[in-house]
Amino acid sequence: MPVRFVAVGLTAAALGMVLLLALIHAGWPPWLANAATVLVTLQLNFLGNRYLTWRGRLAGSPRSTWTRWWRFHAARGASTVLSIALFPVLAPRLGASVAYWTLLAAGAVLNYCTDRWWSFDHRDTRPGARLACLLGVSAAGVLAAVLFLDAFIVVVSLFMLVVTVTTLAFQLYKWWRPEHGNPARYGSPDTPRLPGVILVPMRHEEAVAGTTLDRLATLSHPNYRVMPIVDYADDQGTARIVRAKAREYPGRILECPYPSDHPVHNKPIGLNAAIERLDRLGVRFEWVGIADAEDLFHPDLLHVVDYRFRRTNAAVVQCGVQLMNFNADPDAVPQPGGPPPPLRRWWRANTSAWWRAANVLEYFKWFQSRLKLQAAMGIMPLGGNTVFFRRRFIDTLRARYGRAWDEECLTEDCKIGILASVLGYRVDVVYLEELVTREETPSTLRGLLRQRVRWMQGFIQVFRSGEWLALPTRAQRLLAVYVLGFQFFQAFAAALAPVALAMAIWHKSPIVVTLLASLPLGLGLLNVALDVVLLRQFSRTFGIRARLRDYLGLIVGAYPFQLVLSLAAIWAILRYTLGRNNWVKTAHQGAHLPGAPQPELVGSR
Amino acid sequence: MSAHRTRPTLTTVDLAKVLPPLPVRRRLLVSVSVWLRRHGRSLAVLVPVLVVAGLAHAIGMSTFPRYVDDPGTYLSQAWSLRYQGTLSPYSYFYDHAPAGWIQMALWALLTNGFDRYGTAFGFGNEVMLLAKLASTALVYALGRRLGFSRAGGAGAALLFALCPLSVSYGRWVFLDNLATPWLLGAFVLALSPRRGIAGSLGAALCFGMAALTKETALVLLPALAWAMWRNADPRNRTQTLTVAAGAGVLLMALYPLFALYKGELFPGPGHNSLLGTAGWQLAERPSSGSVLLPDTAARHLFTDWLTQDWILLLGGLAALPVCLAAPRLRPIALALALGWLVLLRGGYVPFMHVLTLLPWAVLLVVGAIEVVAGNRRPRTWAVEPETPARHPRWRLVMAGGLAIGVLAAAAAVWPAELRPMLTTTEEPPLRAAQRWVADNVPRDKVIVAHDSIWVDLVHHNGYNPRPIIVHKLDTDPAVRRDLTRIDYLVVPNWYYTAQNGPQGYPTLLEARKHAVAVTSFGTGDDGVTVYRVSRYWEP
Repeated sequence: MPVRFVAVGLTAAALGMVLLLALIHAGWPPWLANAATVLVTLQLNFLGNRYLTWRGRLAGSPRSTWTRWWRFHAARGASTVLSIALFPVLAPRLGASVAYWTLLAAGAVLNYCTDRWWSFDHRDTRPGARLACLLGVSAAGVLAAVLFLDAFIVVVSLFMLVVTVTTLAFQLYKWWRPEHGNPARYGSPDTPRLPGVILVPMRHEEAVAGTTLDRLATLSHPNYRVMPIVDYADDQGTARIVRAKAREYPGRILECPYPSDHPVHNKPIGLNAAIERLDRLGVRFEWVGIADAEDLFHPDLLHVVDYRFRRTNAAVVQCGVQLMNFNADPDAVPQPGGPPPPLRRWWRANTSAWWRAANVLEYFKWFQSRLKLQAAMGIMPLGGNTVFFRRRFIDTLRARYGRAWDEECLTEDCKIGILASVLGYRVDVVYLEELVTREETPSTLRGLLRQRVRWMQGFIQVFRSGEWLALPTRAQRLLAVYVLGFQFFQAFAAALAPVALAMAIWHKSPIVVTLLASLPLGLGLLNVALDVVLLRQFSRTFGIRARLRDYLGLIVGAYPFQLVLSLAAIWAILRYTLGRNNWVKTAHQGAHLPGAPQPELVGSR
Repeated sequence: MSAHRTRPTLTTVDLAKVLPPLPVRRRLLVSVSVWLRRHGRSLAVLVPVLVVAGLAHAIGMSTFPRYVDDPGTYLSQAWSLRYQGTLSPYSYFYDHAPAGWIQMALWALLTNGFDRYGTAFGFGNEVMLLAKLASTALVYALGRRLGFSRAGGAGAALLFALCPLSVSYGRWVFLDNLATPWLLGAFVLALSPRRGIAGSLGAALCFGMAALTKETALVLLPALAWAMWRNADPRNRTQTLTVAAGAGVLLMALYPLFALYKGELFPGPGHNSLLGTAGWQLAERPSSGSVLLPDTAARHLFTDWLTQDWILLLGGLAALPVCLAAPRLRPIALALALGWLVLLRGGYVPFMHVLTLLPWAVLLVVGAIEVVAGNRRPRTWAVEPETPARHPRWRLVMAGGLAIGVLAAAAAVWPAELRPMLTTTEEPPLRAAQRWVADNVPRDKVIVAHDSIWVDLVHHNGYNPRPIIVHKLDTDPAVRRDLTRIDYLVVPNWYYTAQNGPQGYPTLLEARKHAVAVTSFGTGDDGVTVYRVSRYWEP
């Protein structure tokens, strides 16, 4: 094979030389002739290697020629950039011609390797190769950035500008026009009439299960059931509570055992099992809602959901979810394993308030603005709970895919939302302050990081699985890329903004470039100012006092928070590259519940 | 809970249901046709007004008014940006924020402006004509947003366009003329009936552009802020104003940031600095005195303005208290009051300061008539005013009397002032001098020239070394350093007769002592004498 590889390369080079001479002779400008020659020889190389060098290996390979073509060009492009970059370094030390031939030989070896193990590999890509590829691309990117720093700063700044401007615009959607905030915008709900079921996946939820089921069983709706999903063998503590509650509310609470044949535990498996169980039990339902184990739905929530289903004919109603514990009050901190001594609680509360405030505001902005805009545009990654599906949508999904939720996906909620958009179902978003489902932030920064890693990785999965390509219009597909990539864009844009500016100043870039690099940072500051405004509004809306140190924490913590998100983004990309797709669940401590219930109290009403 | 149906509004109609079936182009067409249907009548009124405004501005603009000091400088800076990529042909010393000539350079770049005319002033006049048309249209738009009737809006636009002060000062290439459309645009957007973020954001950005075009626009910030605050809806006021303030500050911050990155923000030895120049402009510039005191520079300037047009200047002042009765007009009244305060406070008053008074004065004059006539829209901030009341006859009679009075006064005073502006055909002496120089002076001679012919000498006549702008001769250290000889002086006579000559232009005066007059054009202070300097004299 190496012989054939070299033969193909030499033939292509010779043909390219002839072409170059011919073009120059025909009077083409040298740069154009060179570019044309490079393009033609690349294609010759590709065809030659595909159909001569590696022909035998690739027979029957599932990977498409286009994929290979992209990989081939990426790899060759990288090696070319690398050679061009190294030549000025090597030439003075080795002499021009030695450097030239060395680089040519090294490039040939590199090209052979990338062809053999990547572009024309006949097996599935292995994690190691993917990681190497990722590192290679990053290294090439860094190298290109170092070589063309000004151009790099311009490109990065423009990118950050787009991201920060769209971020601002999207998260302010609720305030674009005064009437977006009209209290009467959802109409006034009438008597509910659609039967439904609320599914509650639970796993090791002894701390909150009782309270949650009590609340869910007593919502104001004439005809609905609650179906907790518990693994009876594996999680006996929760199972005991669930069983007791089922006895307490007969006909309201239906138990659903987690399928025992699954070695892994995750939410979509449980939800699919619950739907099947509903079928088997012959329960009549028109909608399915999802609650997490710690979710205390508002008693009137189902009124609105029922009404919105009928009024808007939507297939999905997403209601607001709101993290609450933003402030430095010690009671606001989730405390795993019982309350620690007061001083430590105080310390933990004050040192974690900065990221909790940022996290709380993310939800505040996400559910009030971004989701609404995305619903209006028809691209909708959904939230994981307080979301309600019409039966016809669930049935369509099961008819198409055999099951409603994707069991391999880490963010099944995002995926099902994208599927709703693809299938043309409408999503209605309802955020009414008094009806939101109140939740808690993760108990530690590490927990937040893990949660983000899972979300981001899930979004990568949804992106790679490609359902969004079936969206009807190009604008929607573009928006889908933006929505799915948004967490990454935002994390990197915010983290890079000061870096780009610092580099521009340090490198003494042209002033226009430096000014351009200042703009994203300036918009970032504006974003922080808006966060402060929103925190004030949040504390007024929900009647939770925000103190000066909460605002200070928000301001000072704005950049570190973005760094945490960037870290999560990198980690998610690495995990995805390495093929680690297991589920990391967020632990619930019940800090959002009034007078946080202790485990031993659970079960008594 | 009863199931009552609410009237469908933009939010209750589901956008997703209405929009996706239409392709983008079709949606665009629909919105354009909707816009035309809504504003068709306004356009029908506005277009003739703009034609009249354009004619009044354009006829005779190449020969009137006489040349003054600044326009040529701005044109030379626009030329320098367009052809050399620098903000000034000399070292930029932060005399003004650069957005004004950046806009001119952009227009020149897009339309090849400097090559389309025989003189740079032709291009400058074109830019000013465009600015005047934009301002006139925006006066109409702002009038409408203030609640004027179409007739009122059109009247305001016409008064603004035909006022002799606005014709003569509007023809000069002044940065204020470029800032005016931005300022008016800021108010138009600030009073947007949609009350959304986009409007106030646009208003803040327009204001930022105005301030970057001519920094004196900052004086009007309280008026704009008031208008934005009052127009904002309580439901989104905080967000709207935060975004507007942030974006406006960010845009304006680019100017000090530019200086900072150049290392020229703070004063220091050996370089220009923004704060140094600003300190000089604010503190050390000779005061023009207060208009209220006799025999001050400000008083002379003001008297000069009054002889050209007293109607709008004094009429605006008289209308001010009447307009205070109409809440929507109060920010405009504040804008005019701020402009007047500059005249009264006794600091330095720029020659073209009247330009910052005119649009507000016009709007207040017409606004007062509208208020007297019983128009209720200027008197409320509500988007939809309550059902129109029947106007009592005495109000209509009074308003009609006022309107006729203003028009009659204008008809009596303005034609005499406008006639020379439209009919002068005499070539400005500097223009004649430039042509003579181009015909008679070799291209390698060092010429000290007035700024208004500098671009032509460089761009069209190709003088190399480049001529020296006369007021840079003694102010720019780099020019002093490189100066080895001077061959010709092409400078208006007022430079030699000015009282501050010995301090202001010592080198020029010294050079003239060693020079002979070769030819001269025009007479008096505005005349130009071309001197040839002795080659034995070294500056």
